[in-house]
Amino acid sequence: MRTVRASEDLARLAPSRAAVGGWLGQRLSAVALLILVPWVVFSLATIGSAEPEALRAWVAHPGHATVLAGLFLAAYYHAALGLEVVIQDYVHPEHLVALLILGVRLAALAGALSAVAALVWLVTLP
Amino acid sequence: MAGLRLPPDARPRPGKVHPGPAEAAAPRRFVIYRFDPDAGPPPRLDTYTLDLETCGPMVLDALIKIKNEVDPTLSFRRSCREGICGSCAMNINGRNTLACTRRIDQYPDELRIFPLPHRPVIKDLVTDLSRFYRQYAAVEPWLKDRTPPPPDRERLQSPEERARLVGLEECILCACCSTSCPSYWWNEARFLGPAALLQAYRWIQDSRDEATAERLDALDDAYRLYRCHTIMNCTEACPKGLDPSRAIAGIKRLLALRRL
Repeated sequence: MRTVRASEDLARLAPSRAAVGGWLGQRLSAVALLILVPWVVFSLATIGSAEPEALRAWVAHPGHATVLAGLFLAAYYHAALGLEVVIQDYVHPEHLVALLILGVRLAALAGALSAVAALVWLVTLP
Repeated sequence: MAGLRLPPDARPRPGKVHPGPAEAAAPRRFVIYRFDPDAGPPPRLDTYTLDLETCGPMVLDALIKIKNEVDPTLSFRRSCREGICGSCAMNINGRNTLACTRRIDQYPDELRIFPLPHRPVIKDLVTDLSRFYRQYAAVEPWLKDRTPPPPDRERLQSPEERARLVGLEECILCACCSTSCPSYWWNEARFLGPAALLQAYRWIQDSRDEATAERLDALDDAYRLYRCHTIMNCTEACPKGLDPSRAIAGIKRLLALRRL
């Protein structure tokens, strides 16, 4: 039998001290999505027109665009946190975990920024 | 990376069959995991048939009978035989439990007995729990104070303060909960596991302890605490009826309140 030595216990490392933020962020963004996603679905269903112009006009409304921006930010933030949890669960080499989490965060940031930029572009279209 | 199957040399093969007495009035089959460190892998599954008319009622009684009368090479831990010491924790018909508190007639037919899951096996049903004990030690399970104790009496608790420890201090460290937790299987080197976290919460809840902030600091870690995804196998497995998942939720709640 191969004995598990104390030197193999990574739990002896100092705690990261930041984990509660991610846990809270997951729950708060989940609550936000629980409210915002049904709102978007309901709103799109009641626009009354399938024309692209009608859709653009609805999105370009500053109030709608602001809430949609909140939805995109919450969705990308929640997705990034969820993927981080999957990576931490199933990937063990520490350098690979750090690399993958960095990649997920950068991809989520790029996605959120491009979504918000698209909304700004739609709102400011002449 | 996490593995979804046992390595080939850890998968048990069919082993020896020990038929019971031909005139058995109440025969019952026990299929038991056997691993001999001298012979090496793979492990095997030996089958023993006992007559329940001549055997005690509990699963531990059957194991002792097998060791005394059928096969003295069978190894397992046992001590108190009444659910207090936690020594005879093992996996019976797919559930972690104590062999001394489970009646044989609770099981419908054949009993399949394995060591606690995902532990290195020393021999047969005896596993290496050294990391489990180090994790218990890591939560510093003792009273930490800054205020000197009263010179003329012990530290007192009100009945209400003592009641907060009910459901926490009865843990016997049998490891049934931690070894039934998939998060623990995948990240046991960094996740403390339900048993150690239950004990951490026991000291956080203790009105005499003055190191709550320090204890919470030590647990605020993505791996030590937050690998728990509320799967609740721990609560399902606990042979003492304790609820480690509720204790872990209590720690998370305190950390969140502190942050907010």
